[in-house]
Amino acid sequence: MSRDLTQVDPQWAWSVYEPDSQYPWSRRSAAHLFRRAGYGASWAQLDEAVRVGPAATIDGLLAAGQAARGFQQEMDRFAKTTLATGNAKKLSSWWLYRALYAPDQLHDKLTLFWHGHFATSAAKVQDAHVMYEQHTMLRQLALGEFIKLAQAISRDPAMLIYLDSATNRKRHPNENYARELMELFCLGTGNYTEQDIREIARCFTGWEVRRRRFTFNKYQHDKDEKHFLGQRGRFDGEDAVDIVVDHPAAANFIAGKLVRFFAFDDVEIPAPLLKPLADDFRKHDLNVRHVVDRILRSRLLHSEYSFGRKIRSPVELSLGLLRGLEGSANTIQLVEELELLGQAMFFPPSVKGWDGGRAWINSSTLLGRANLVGRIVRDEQTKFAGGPLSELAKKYGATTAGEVVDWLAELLIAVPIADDVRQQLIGTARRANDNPNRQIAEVIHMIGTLPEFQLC
Amino acid sequence: MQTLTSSAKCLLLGCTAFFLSVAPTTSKGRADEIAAADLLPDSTILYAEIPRPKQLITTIFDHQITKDIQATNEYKTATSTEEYQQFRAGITLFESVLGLKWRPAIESLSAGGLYFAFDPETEAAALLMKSNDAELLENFRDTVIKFARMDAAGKARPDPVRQSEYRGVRVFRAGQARFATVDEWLILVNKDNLGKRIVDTYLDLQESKADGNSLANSTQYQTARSSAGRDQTAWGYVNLEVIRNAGVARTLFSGRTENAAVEILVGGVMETLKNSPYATATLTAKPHQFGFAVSLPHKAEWVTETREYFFGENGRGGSPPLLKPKDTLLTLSTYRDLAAMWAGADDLYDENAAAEIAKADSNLSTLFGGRDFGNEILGAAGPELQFVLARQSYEDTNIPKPAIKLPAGALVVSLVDPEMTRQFKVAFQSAIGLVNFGQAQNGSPQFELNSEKRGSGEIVSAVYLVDKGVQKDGEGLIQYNVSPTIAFVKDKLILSSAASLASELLDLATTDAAVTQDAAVNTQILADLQAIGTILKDNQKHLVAQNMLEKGHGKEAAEREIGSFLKILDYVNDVSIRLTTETENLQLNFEVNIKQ
Repeated sequence: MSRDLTQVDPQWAWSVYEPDSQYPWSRRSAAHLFRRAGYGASWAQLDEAVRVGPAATIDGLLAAGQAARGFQQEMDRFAKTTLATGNAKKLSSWWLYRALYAPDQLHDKLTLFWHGHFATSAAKVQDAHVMYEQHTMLRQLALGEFIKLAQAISRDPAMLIYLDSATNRKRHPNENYARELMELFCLGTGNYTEQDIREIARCFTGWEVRRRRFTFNKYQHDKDEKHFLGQRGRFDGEDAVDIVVDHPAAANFIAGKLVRFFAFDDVEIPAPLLKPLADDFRKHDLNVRHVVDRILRSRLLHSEYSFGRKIRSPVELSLGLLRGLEGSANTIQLVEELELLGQAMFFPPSVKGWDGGRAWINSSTLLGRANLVGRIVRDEQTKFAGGPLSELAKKYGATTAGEVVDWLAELLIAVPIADDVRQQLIGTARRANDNPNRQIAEVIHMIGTLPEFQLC
Repeated sequence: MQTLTSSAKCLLLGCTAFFLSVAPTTSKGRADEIAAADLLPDSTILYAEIPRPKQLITTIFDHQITKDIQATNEYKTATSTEEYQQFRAGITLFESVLGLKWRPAIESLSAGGLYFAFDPETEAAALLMKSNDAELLENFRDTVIKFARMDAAGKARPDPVRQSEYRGVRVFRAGQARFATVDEWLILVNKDNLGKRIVDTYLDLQESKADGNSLANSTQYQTARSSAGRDQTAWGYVNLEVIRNAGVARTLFSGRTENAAVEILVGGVMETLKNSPYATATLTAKPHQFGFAVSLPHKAEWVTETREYFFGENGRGGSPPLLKPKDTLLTLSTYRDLAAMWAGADDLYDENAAAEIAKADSNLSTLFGGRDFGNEILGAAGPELQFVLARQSYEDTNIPKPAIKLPAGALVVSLVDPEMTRQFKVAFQSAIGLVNFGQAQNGSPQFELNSEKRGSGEIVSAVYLVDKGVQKDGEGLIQYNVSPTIAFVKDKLILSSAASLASELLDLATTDAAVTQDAAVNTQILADLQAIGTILKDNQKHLVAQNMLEKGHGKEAAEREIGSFLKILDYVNDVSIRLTTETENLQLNFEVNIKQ
């Protein structure tokens, strides 16, 4: 079947997915949903999703944020303890730990999305506390109205430090934040001029950071009239954010980025396909929950246009494996490994965030990704549902080499594997049949080397 | 009386009768009088023995700590794995075939001791075990062989054990290992030559034909052996002379190091290693004490001029008493003439390290107003050094209690030249100024300098200026553990990471009698595990968080694991290390005292 998005009927694409013979609701399709709306799911969770159906499963994903309050409170206390060292890498370990065990998977995944969108790196900020404050803000507003998120990030101390806005004086306006607000955060290129950047930079003059807090220095604020994006007035930073977010391109830009995050990457979305979603997004005051709800329930997400059309990020790869196998992890070590593969939480490479897609893969990272998979499943410290791999496989009825391979393929691989690949995996399992744990670990390690496994 | 097979009894009786009648002076004729050292060649360079393994087994397996470890969830989890259960099943099967539980079996099989040796001439290692029941030993040997053959058969592999005979003794070979039992002795070697030599010696001794070239007859071994006590759990001997001459571990015996910390800690020991003919080691395990000691012959004249800084002139340098302020975690006292070490750096270190020291000398001289750091600054301090780490109370400060509570550390030295007091004070103020400059650039809190007279002493401390609105009882920054302080009292200079510790040490120095030094003790270290347990409990929630991140545990599992660790730690009172230079002997003692 053709995967040409220009051929897709927008009405079909955004209508609510109902399982049918072409796209049935199965463990494989449930696994697809959990990989996109979270970091993956266990065999038991997939069975439960199949039992309750797609609508109830998506309801559960969207509602989990409220249900996870107790977990969040515990994680907040855990984070504060971690912050005592003042080490942002420890905070990165904490986030991996949270993401691995989070009952609110969608919420956490969206927090990661916004972290990549409003990219801020602790490498420059050099203050784990303000990075955590930003993280908390992103999490709290992840599924709210986009304008609140844009306003909050504009006053966020970590962002102000990262984009040098903290030294934005009226005599020397710093244009960094004004440029990124439009180019990377709200509108995309081609929707503003250099003059707009200069004028918006004036709006943000006097927005400073003192003792880790946002402060407004009225003496350094340019109170004169500004003229940008077709508006004229004595605007301040808050007005500037309102005007930028109100721009018609904003809904398109954010909705498009969310579609690429959930459905497919490295693909240009045809304007007619995106338009109904963007219009609906605008109609609902750029409410992120609403647009995410529509994307998750869409036929487009539950179709060939989305299955296996993303490349797993290192975080998705490692957490997906661990969540699928109900594994525990040394997240301090994992942070170091993910950094080598190009994705360290709280340390995005630039203000553009992570490029994602095919950029995750090169000859070095491909080997590194397979090695990471091998290391995780062979690590004696890793426990799978509190025990060894063989017990987990037995729990789910996989005992023979063929059963183990089929179980792992359905659980961990986004697309069906060819028969010769399956036979190779069975051969691997048989060669290591003297030790059930080693046998499964060998198969998983080999799965980690497959091109199919790199797909999400 | 040991149980012997009838043939062994006959042999023994025969041999005894023969030696009693023919050669009454040859004491090695009786099989039960033959020691492992009698069987080993005089070229043996490494020898270790556990004369009474039963005692060690009892101490370890019947100890309350072992019982408590076995009661922990972590132990239960570790022993519930499939692999461990398989191992247990193997042991049970082995016990049923042997007809004895593993513990009485091992106690009986090794009742006469366990011995290990390495002989460079044959390039072979030997493990000897003496039983009190030759029949049980043969049974054990046969059971091991049976299991090896069963395992191979199960895997469709050829018979792994080959059998031959040497001078009437059945010898078995499996892979690289050769083993045999002769009366109560089990002989396990990795090369034929050494195995033959041991069997020959054993048989020849009984026939009074032994050539006498045994380890036991070596003069050096006898000298080393004479200093060994009687109640040790294990004892070992190394012929350093042969190892040195063979060119093994050249770096160790070269007497030079690249690492300044290693030099300061053990530089003098390396001087002894360069010359000492042998070393012995003793292990003592008792229910309430675990001790390990290494001993080397030592002569003051072996110490070259460059290493006089370590032992003092003619080896007379001794450490001052250990400092013990409240809640001491670790206290160290040593004799090190740092000015002399600094001056001789070119001879002690390699080129890179010496260049680094020269660079540091230049920078530190600048900090001390142009005075020569080695000669004038280090030279102003005496060689008796005291260092202490103690838990902090945080009660007397206006800064918030830090979330992570670190111990305070302090160094105490005697000033040879009291005139240098002002120079140290100025350098301290300059250093704090430099730190404040950096802190201001980073927007981090800065230090405020305070000076106070305390009795006959003086304290200059730098305390963090706390941000307005920060709660004293809040969870403060980790930096709040630090309040750098310099203090002076009598001839003492105290350099401390915390003002409270400096005050306490100043008070101790004021009230203490004059410092006495024990010339025999070069270095002593005492770690109080009870106090260390207390500071770990202060930081328990951080240890729990670390455990969660490192092991992926949930909070409860992490709390359980840390709790178990702290409980085990609670059994240990203290750990001490002492380096002493008694007459012609250098000794390093390590001791762990268990709570009664």
